[in-house]
Amino acid sequence: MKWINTWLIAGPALLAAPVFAAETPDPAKVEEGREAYESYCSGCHGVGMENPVEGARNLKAFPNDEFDRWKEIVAKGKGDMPAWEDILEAHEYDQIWYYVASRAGTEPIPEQKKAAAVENEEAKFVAMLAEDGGAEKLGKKGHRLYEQICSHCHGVNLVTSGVSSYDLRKYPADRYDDWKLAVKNGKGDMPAWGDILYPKEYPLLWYYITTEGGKKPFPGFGAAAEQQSAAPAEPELATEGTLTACLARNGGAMSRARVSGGTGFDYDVIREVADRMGVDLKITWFESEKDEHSSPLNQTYAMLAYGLCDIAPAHPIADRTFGPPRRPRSMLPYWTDRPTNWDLATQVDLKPVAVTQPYMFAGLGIVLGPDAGKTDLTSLDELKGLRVGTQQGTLAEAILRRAGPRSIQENVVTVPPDPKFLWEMELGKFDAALVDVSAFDFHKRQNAISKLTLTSYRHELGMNIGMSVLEDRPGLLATVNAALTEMKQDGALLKIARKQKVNYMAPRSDAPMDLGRAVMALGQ
Amino acid sequence: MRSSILAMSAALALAATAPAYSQTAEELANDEATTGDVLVYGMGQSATRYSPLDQINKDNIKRLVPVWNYSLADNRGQETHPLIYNGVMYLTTHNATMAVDAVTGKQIWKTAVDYPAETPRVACCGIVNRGAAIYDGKVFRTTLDAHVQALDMKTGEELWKSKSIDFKLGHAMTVAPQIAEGLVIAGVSGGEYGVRGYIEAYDANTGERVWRTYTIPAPGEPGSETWKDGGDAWKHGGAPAWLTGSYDPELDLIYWGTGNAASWNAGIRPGDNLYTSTILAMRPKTGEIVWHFQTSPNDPFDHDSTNELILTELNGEKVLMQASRNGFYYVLNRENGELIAANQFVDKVTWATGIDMETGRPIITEQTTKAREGEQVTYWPSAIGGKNWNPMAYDPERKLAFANTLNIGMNYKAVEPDYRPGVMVFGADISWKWPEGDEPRGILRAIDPMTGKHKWEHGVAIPRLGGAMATGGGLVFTGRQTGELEAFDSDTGELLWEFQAGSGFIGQPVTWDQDGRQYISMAVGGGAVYALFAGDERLGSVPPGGSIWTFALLEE
Repeated sequence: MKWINTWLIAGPALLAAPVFAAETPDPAKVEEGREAYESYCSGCHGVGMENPVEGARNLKAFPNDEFDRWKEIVAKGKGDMPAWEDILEAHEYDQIWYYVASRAGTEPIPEQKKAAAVENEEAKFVAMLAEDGGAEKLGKKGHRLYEQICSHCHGVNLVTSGVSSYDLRKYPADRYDDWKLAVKNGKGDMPAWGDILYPKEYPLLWYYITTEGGKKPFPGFGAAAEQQSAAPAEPELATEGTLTACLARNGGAMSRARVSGGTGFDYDVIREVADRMGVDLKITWFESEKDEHSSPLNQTYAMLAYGLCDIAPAHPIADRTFGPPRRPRSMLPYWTDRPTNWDLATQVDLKPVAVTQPYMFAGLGIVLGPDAGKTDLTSLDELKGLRVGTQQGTLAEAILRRAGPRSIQENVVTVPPDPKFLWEMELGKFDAALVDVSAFDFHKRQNAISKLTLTSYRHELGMNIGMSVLEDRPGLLATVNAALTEMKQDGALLKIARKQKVNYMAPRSDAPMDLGRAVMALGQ
Repeated sequence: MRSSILAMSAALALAATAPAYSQTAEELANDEATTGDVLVYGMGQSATRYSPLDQINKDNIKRLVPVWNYSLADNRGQETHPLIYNGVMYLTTHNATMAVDAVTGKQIWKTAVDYPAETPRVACCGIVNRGAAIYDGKVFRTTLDAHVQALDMKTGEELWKSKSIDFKLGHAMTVAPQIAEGLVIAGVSGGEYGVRGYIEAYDANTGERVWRTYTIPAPGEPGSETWKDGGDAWKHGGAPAWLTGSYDPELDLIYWGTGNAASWNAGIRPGDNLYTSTILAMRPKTGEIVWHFQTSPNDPFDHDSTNELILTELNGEKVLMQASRNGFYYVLNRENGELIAANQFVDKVTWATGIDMETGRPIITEQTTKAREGEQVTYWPSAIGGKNWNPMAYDPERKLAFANTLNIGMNYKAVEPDYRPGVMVFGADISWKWPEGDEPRGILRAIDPMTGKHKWEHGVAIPRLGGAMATGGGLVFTGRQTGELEAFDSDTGELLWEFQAGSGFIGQPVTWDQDGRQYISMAVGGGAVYALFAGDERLGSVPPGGSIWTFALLEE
């Protein structure tokens, strides 16, 4: 339940000021405050708030009716001042403030200003975004503002050479609050913009930066938009206390049904997410269709809309793989618990879908067969002289044909798509192939004495993978995002990958949103 | 005669106080001839960046090796122009001023520059400083938060610091000051913030401001008739003066170029908009404008005319030359400002077909008219210019200018400017137009001033944005943003020497000799305008990190 502390409770709690107003300061409380002050603050702000070191603020001059603002600065840091939120206990803020606001016990503490009823600009922004043409309008505004305020350090169109400023495209999309504070108060070499920017401009900039000018899905504002919105930030689950997830029972290294429970990387990830949410997990196993006429994407939309599950992992993040459905209705795939009289031709109405932040990257690597004469390579050029196999109509084929060096083209053999492709490589049909890393992982798992090796070469093209939920469940989306962030930070994803023996690739900030176009661009 | 009398009186006045740390106006005036020191920005008041030294030459350059490296302890772009006097090198970064032993590279003193944390907001194109000025036992510099400061040359102690203007409104200072008539002359930056530019002078001894000449006249002043909008456009009209001028003591004139008009939306400020994008000749004592020559009237394209103004003699005439941002190489008579030649020095110029030799005005194309009317256009050279601030060198023997030119265009559409004090305001939606295919973005060229034609060239994919220096050894020194310091054959353009300096080069090479040994020195440290604005991800693999490299021939 740790995540709940960080983004549900700490947020509002930070803003809730204790009642201080006192005619005459209570000497005992002043003394208590002094002790805390001497332990944390006097090193810079001076013993007795006298003679602060250069650059540190004279706290005797700090407006003593602004607890909220003071606390925010102490918690998050400002300029050269470090953040104390990891160190100070909640009551210590109160103690120190008593000492500071009473000017070391020499003055009565005035009534504290209510933090101005801040209009929730983030919530307003979300509403505007939903309006007709809102995304385009706000995107344009955000872009222009970015060029005025940010571009001269962070680069035109967010492209920075990385020479001396932070590459904003790499900023964690789930840390709006931290970002906003840094912009407002400055951070390191970055100047503060709080006196220049209007409150409504932070969401504009955040929107432009995180969507990279409309190229990526908007991650939202996390807790900030919800803090004051009427809707509780509860994960809206169909069955209270249980997260139901749709997983492919034939999903290779990612997910497979077992007599009891399941296995695979996605299976373990969603189980960990449920654990961190403090809810039970129930899996709806479905059959992923292999025939080319069905669309897995439409089926995911259908399963979510029909309520077969709250969430669907293994959702590719690309242009038009989320948001409004591409068609009004779609069929459902086979699922294990379907009613015996279910008519598979039934079309269900689709609903808009939102996608979480990515938790992995699905990409391609080069696999070498037993006769390749080497065990590793780092570029396509090194395929020269090897018999290279590829399956027709796959991304790998397109890449090899369009971007593969000329020297290897005559050695590339294209075969029809075949589940036995890697098995045939074992037998020496090809020396090398560019294949889905997860396909290799699964093959390896199925075949303990495999002679194939995965090289360290990875192609840059591929897709980020997230989890999808219905768009009208922002609470669930935020909750899962928070859990995924934590799992990225504490290494849980890597641990799961190791346990499942999969070659994990972390999400890429430069993953193409239009794979087709990215492939076309390769040959140029 | 004026200068020598002045020099004598200055020398006498100072002789008693700090002899080893003084330098006189005469010394400054003779900087070009005295190879043992580098006293003035541009390696002399004529800003030729040429030294007759020839110990290092085409034949032995292979033996050029580093003798010391000094860390500037700073990750911003390094554009400082080293000055050397009496064996001590004076250096600046945005946050410190330093004195270093010129032969050993050991630090003698270092004085931090403190400016408010908000200041970087007003630096449009890099948090940089271009160097100091030295005179009369003092080191002068400007600061990012628009102050001019004097330090004791011996100790680094601050002698005075004068506030020029409130930086929060968009003013910054990165310029190396100029010394003339006992005054410290500086200009303000901020063309992209809608400031009203100026050049001003401070008393070297007291820090008191002696004069300030606004580069945009107020209503009623001469030139104000060129602002025909009838409103307040002049108040935010730009014309900053962010590069050091040159100085002709005999003519008693200083020459400064001014920057672009602001905002870039030219349609809403009809008229020529004097003195934006203009070369100014001024009296150093009073700041009076004696003559002016405008290179880009009613400029929509950010074509500053700030680039260095080189003073030399051509065909027996005293001239001033500028390779302007707008793509034309101007040669003017520097006594009266008359146009002698103006020719294209880059391959692609689309905003004008040439310069009218009668009027000196550009012969603009339909594109410029369209741009002013608010239509979308793609023009060359871009806002970064046919040549940016990075100074060229002029070899008077070969009569060639060596300039790092640029081959970049820009997509442009004027929009309503959203003026906000202290925030960049472009008044245009802009994006880069890169050259097609493998064409280089930057080309080092050896240019004939009278024709603009080049004798040789050397192109690179990532453009060079550092200064150039020429020597009597038949060499041109410059470098790349990817860290290669380079020396070329002045006659053929052959690359003779290269050294990877560890970070990008956008600095200014200098040379001097000491105890019979010739040294080459320059600041290294990538950053600033191209690195920030071009979005060239190829620079991502070049680490930041400022330092000074000094080279000499390997002793046999």
